[in-house]
Amino acid sequence: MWEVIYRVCPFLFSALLISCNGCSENNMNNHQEDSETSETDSNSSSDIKGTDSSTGETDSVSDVSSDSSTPSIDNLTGNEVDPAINWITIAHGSFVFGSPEDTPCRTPYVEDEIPVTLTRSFQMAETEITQQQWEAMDLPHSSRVQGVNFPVTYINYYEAAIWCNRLSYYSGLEPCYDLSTCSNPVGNGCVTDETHSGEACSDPTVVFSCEGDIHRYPDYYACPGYRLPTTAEWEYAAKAGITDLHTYGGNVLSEPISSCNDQPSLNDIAWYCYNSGDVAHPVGEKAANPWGLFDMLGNVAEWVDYHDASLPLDGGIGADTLTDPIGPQEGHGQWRSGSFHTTGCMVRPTEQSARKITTRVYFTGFRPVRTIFE
Amino acid sequence: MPSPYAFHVVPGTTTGNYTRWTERICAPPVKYPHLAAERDWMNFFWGIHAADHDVRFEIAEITYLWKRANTGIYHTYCDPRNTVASWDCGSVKKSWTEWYSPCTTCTPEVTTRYYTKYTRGVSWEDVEAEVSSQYESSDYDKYLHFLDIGRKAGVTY
Repeated sequence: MWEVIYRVCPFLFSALLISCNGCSENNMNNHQEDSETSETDSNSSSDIKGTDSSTGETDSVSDVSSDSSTPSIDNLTGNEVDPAINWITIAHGSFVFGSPEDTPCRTPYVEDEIPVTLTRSFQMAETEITQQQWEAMDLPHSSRVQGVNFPVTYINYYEAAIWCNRLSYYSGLEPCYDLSTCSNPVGNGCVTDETHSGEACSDPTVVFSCEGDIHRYPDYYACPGYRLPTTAEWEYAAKAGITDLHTYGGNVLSEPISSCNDQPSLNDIAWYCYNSGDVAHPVGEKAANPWGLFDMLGNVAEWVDYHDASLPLDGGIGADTLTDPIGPQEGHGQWRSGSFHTTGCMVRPTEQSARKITTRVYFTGFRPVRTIFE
Repeated sequence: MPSPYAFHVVPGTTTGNYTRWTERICAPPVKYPHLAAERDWMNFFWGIHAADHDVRFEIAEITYLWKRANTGIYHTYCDPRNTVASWDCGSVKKSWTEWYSPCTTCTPEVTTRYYTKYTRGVSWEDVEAEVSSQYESSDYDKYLHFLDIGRKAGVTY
């Protein structure tokens, strides 16, 4: 019902949303978030871009509808359907980001160990977003291997942001990204014909891309809507509380990068170059990690919301600990998890790949999250 | 014949029988391991060369990439124009003329001072842009191998 009201009249939807004291789950979350904002939480809506410093007035839920009333790439088309995602709740907590120096295939600096605290619990999709779930937001894709339960691929960072925004609108939540500077069609580039022979492309004049910082909340964790996980959130969920092993399957063996050797610790939990046949596989076929997340290692690489400047998570300042880290404001994008195409020793919870943020390639997708406002 | 032991898999001197030349000859100062830039770069070049055939970079390819990344300007000419750390560098100047007078009433004398010739370095950004231009569309695996080895060797910052 809420989706219908929202599509018909966004203003009415917002008015109902603000006055609602307990409706659907999503609206309850909005109400909770509003309450938080009205008190003292500086990390919530008061941090949203567009705050009028002279009056102290902030953008609020009502602005979601006014934004969306203007034609925009992330507006709902009316053809969206429930993507039927299983969400796993990840409780807030602390962990050690990074890996020991003797970890095979470790990347220096970016994997430097540093204690991190995540103060907000969040929901994370149980699997990588499938092609059916992608299409549920009425967006095109050109994944190489087609199938409803296969992960969507050929998705760049900005395209993932559109999908997240549409799901936020569909769910009556504030979107996390401002896509007003974006251009070029979604799903365009790389694939030149039905054989899907193109491997990758990143030309910002061709692929969907945006200018400047697209975040509506400088504190990414404070956004109520769906979004890409921060690099810390992703690693926290991938490690799933394990501290003494490289993966929940066991230790990864050392091997030369670009080789493709058997990694016994990965075979039951991940699709990687040795066992994948160099193609993506339907999500959820390998064993889940201890927190119930499938394919957190391997299958397709996953975009996270992080600008990678080849620096430690603290930017190299030597911090003793970090709380809700975000990272640099510019630089490459970042992939996590390795992929069905990746050398096994790089399929680790701490492996980080810096890539052009506009890159669309046949082995990269994403997995969204949403902050839980307690 | 490349060694099967790429830089990232050879056991350290304290844990194995293989002692890398780079560890014996140009190990970084104990207190400043992060200053071992030379070794990092050697590791990088070895890593992109000593790889499987499909993604291997031959010396000629590396040379070509570096020359292209330099946009044709391989040297620069610098001269300290003052005693503080201010250097005047250019790509074409080779000398400059200094006029001075030994006294206020003397005719100025002229001397020619020569710039020092330096080989111009290339930033990682320059190299990455060039390898992207050469390989990203045509051979993505090779492109990724280059980037990944750069990251693992620690030369991308």
